[in-house]
Amino acid sequence: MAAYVAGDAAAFRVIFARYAPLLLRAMLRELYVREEANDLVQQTFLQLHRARADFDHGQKLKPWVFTIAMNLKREYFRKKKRRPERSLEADSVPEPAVPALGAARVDARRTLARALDDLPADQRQVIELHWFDGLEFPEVAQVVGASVSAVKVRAHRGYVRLRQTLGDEAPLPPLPGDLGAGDRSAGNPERAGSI
Amino acid sequence: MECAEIRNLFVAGSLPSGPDVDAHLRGCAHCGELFAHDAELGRRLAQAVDADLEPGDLFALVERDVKSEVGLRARLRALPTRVRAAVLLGFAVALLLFQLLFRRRPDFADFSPALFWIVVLAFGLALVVGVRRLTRGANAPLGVEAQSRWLAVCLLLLPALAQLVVPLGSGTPEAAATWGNPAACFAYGAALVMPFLLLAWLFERRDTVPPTALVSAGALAGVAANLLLHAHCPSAHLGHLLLGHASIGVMWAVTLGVLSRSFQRSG
Repeated sequence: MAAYVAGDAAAFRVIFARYAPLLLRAMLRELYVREEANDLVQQTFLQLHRARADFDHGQKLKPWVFTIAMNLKREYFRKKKRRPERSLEADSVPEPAVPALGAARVDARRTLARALDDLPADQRQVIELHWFDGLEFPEVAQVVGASVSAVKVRAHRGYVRLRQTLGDEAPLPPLPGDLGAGDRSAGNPERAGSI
Repeated sequence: MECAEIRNLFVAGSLPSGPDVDAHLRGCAHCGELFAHDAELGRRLAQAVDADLEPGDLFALVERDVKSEVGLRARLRALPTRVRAAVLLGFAVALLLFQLLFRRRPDFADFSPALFWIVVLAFGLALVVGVRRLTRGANAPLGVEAQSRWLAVCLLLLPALAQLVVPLGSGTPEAAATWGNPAACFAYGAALVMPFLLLAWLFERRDTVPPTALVSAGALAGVAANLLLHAHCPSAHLGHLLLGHASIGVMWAVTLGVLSRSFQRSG
């Protein structure tokens, strides 16, 4: 970013290559329509360009870019006057990072999506930024404008509520290579393997 | 080990384990939730993480946008936020100085100096806070939006509240009984702050400005107008002060709000 602010146009392409795929994924998670997601990502980079003189070189770029993107997404939904229903059947929903989804796992994803929708907005936002956008908690705190401890409290409350909601649902079927059922709670030395 | 590493291990398809993980979980209540009941929640969340998407030819569109950022407004809105804020505040200060030096209120010598400067300070603080918020643009943290609504309400109410105490500082009792010409004050204040609004528009980075930001901009212009009228008009009549001074911010806020709705409907 420092190079870009200093006038190196090639640095902008590097920033785009690094963040556009992440932003597209974040936008499409709620927009479902690729053209609209593209449009918001395009606007994000235009805003980044306009605000480049404000970037503090001692800070990370990722939360800064995500703050711009999330603000644009919020403004988009404000104009649309609603947040859309999740639709895992939509054509434009991206492939999962963990592959090999069977029908049962598609159901599990749908169940999780519904449970997330039932969370209070501040808890859902923190969990989505951390889990689906890969931001660390200090970065999430920067994006939402709260302290790191406040963000962790929101995550904890969200996790508890998610577990309560999902507790009534069918358990997640194991993937090939998954460990069998067993106690994997904190402190258990047997906790190992893949999911 | 950090929470992010736990998350990354889940997303990579591993069930996080080992002494480092155990040590982390002993001090991290929310990560502990991920591991409860056979790590059900951690696994579900990991499997809901989507793969990255290829942006295709999006860069060409972004590059076109960036290349079209030329001209005066593009240069002005690309200025650092502290510079844009300083120019807006500087304009308000210039208005105050102009009034104090050339068009000072006739009763300035008789008016309570303490109350005069307290009101100036209150308006000045409101301008600093409001301008800071107005010039932050799309890179402001998400939580700011809710605060913006409160700020807009406060900026609209402040001039009216200030006018309730202004008569207390008047040294000429007849000023409280003089209705004067509130329309002239209203027109004078509203017109002199138009460049403030023009500057705010030139400095605005967002293509679609949220209504709260527009209302705040109108209210801020009202605060600037009240600041200059406080240094200019000797009236201590409450009706005059509310109608001729405090209503300017409301008028600008309503005007900008209505214009914004009209543009949204037409575009």
